[in-house]
Amino acid sequence: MTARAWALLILRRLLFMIPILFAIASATFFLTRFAGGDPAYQIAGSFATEESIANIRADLGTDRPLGVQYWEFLTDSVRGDLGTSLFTDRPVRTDLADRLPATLELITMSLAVAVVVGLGSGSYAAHRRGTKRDKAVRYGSFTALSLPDFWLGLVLLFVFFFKLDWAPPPIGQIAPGATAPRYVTGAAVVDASITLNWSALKASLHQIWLPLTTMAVIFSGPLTRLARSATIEALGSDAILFGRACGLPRSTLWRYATRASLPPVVTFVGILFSVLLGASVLVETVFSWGGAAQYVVNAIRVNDFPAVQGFVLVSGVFSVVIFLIVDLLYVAIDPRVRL
Amino acid sequence: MSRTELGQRRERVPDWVNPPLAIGLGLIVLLAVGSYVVPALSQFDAEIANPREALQPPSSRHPFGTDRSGLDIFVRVFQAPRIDLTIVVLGVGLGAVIGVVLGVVTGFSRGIPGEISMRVADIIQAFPLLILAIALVSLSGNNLTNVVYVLAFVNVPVFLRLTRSRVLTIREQRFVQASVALGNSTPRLVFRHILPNALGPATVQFGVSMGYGILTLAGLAFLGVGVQVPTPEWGSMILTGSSNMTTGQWWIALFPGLALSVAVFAFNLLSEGIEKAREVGSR
Amino acid sequence: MSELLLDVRGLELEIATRRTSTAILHGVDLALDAGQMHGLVGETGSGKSMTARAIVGLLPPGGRVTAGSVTFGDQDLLAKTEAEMREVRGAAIGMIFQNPRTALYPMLNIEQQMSNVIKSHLDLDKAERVARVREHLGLVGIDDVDRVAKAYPHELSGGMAQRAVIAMALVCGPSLLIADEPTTGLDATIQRQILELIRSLQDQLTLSVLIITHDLGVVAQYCDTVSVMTEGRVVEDGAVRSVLLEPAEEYTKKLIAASDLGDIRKKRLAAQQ
Repeated sequence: MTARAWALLILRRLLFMIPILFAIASATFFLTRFAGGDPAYQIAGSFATEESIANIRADLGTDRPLGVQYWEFLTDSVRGDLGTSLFTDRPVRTDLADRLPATLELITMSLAVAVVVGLGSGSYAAHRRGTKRDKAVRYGSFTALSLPDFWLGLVLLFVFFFKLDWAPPPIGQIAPGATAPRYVTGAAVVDASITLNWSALKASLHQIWLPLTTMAVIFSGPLTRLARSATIEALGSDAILFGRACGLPRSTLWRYATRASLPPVVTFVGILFSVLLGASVLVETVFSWGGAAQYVVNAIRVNDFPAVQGFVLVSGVFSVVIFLIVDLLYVAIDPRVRL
Repeated sequence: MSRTELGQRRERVPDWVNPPLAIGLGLIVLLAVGSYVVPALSQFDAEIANPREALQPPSSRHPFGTDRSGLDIFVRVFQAPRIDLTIVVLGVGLGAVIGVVLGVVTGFSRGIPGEISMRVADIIQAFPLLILAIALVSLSGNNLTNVVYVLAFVNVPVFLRLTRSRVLTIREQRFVQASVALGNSTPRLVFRHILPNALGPATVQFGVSMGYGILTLAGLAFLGVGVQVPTPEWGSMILTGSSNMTTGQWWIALFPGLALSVAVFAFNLLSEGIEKAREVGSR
Repeated sequence: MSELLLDVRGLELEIATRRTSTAILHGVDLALDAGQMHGLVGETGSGKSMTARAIVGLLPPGGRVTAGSVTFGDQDLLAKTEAEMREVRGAAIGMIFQNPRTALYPMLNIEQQMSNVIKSHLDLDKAERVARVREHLGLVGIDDVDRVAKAYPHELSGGMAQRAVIAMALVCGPSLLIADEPTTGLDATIQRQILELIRSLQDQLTLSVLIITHDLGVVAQYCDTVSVMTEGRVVEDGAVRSVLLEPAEEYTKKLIAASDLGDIRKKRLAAQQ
């Protein structure tokens, strides 16, 4: 596709995103208000008087009509103001900015590894369909996707930390006493790489390898199955048959089949990514990762209303952006797709 | 295999029964039955603490060891399906039923309601569902009933989409149009012809969603959401044992997790089995 | 005197699944002289497509040749390894199938795909490859060569796609083209065009053609010789005139009667004499 066609497509999709974002913001607002109790009670405590509760409500702004609150929420959000956390007393935006990079780094690196493993073993199995190796791959991936991620993390901790001492104790991105990279994004591995700080890179990789392996193992399960069935379908296609009839070498046919099998994999990775923003809380808890997911779960426990709202909004926006990227990747991979 | 030498037919296993279906269903039934049989046969109670026997490794007396409160893990692991299976069947089942009904209704009627429902399903799926689940349960009361409702809520979009697109395809097929031409009234059409066909993908999806549902429930319990402490449930048992993993008492979290994996595995297997069985039926 | 290009003798083939194996071909004999168009005709399930695929070694999973020989020129095709057959396919023997739009790889444009084929057999640099692609696209009767070269398969009509497929099968200069039902699924007028094209390419490129079809009309109009197949066997073969005008076998007679050759056949065949 020409550069101009790409630019127009992206522009069209970005414009289309606006009403969707609006819908997400609205849904966030109403969901949190519907599901939540009145935070004023929690903040005031057990011995609150009517008056103090009313004061708190005035502070928070929850005593105003719903419509006004809604409007203010929308205008604030557009400007990037997500309110102040009732727990940390800092702007929610800052809290999230502190913690999101750690979560994103973990998710991205885990998915990257899972995709490589998934595509590789799925394709491997598809080319050897019906053989014992194919069966082994199938059973392996089936098992992997049945495992609970938090449990696997604990088991791996036991084996590699407690028994073998190959992994550090689960205390987050950087161990105390180890060299920390200079703060650029807040994601240790990324920061260490950007600043070319080798000792910090080693330290941060040492901390991340166990949670990363946990998540990569689990997600390679469904990715392998998907890659395998998509490759099998591609291999049986008329185009591959004709390619063979023209004498194309195996490497070319392998490339053809792999590219044809990408679309469902790309879609699935997109879905996984957006799900993982929240679901990574389990692994984050096991390894005390200090990410955004842990933050919001804590916020829920203490009824930190603005923090929950802010997180839900940010992840909704994230998901929409990811789905846009997935759609654009689709167009890049498959010329038949018209958006 | 199914005929004697004289060509007489012996009774044979129906074509649609296949290994994954049998094994998956068998495991699930075992877990369900075991959740009542094992506690009945065991000398230990799943919920009464016994501090003198705390933190014991697996032995002949306690095959899976004991936890910090001295509770026998073997009994608890086997009793857990009472919660795990029940809640998930109810929750996912409810979501599936609602989703399928909505899918048929919006798929069958033309125009705007269909589009809107798809957009709403899109938006629900754009949210971090686990967080949403935690939020909804915590904020509306940390009990199991709410967990059922939340599980149902997050499962509606998937079943809606699946059923709706199937109905849209079926609707255009000749036999439907012929049936309408013959003067069949709409409800009859829906029940006798469309519904059985449309339910197909949903039944396969049900197994998969059950698997995810169990993992979600356990995940919620691991975070302290939904399940109360003495009640045996795999996720909360793993939570209890999590800190012990780094101090060497591996058995407390291991066995519940194994059982959890087996249950999820069984449901996924069941789902595969249903899919294979349907292939046989459509030949 | 034409020389024998393709000689298939006593070909037997079976397909094996985990539980059973089914014999598909029961001793097929086929002979094709250089420069001829030979029709292999039969009903669905007669084994004609399998025969063609066995010749180039493109059997489905579980397919095995159990007896017989396939000689192409002076080469024993059945004795070759898969790597050696890869060199034969496309360079010595080209093959096209039904349904051209699914035969082309959807994710690359025509020029890129054809270039890949050239790369696997000939040692040409980029400019030479581009020139060769365009030359062959012109040969198959495509007027707007530039547009088609840069087009993706889904952007082409059925007829245009089949021309591109033919160009791709012939781009490395094979001496035999095997066409498996090349016109089934195309509109009637396009069918004629494609068949005329193949016929004219025969002259231009000194090409021999093995065409597989269930349509006796195609055989009558375009082929020099014909083999009639049913249930994995060749029941009759010979020059088209003699087989269709004076069929010796019962099956051939039934086939002719069931087709709509009728008077047209008689007139055409008479005109050819």
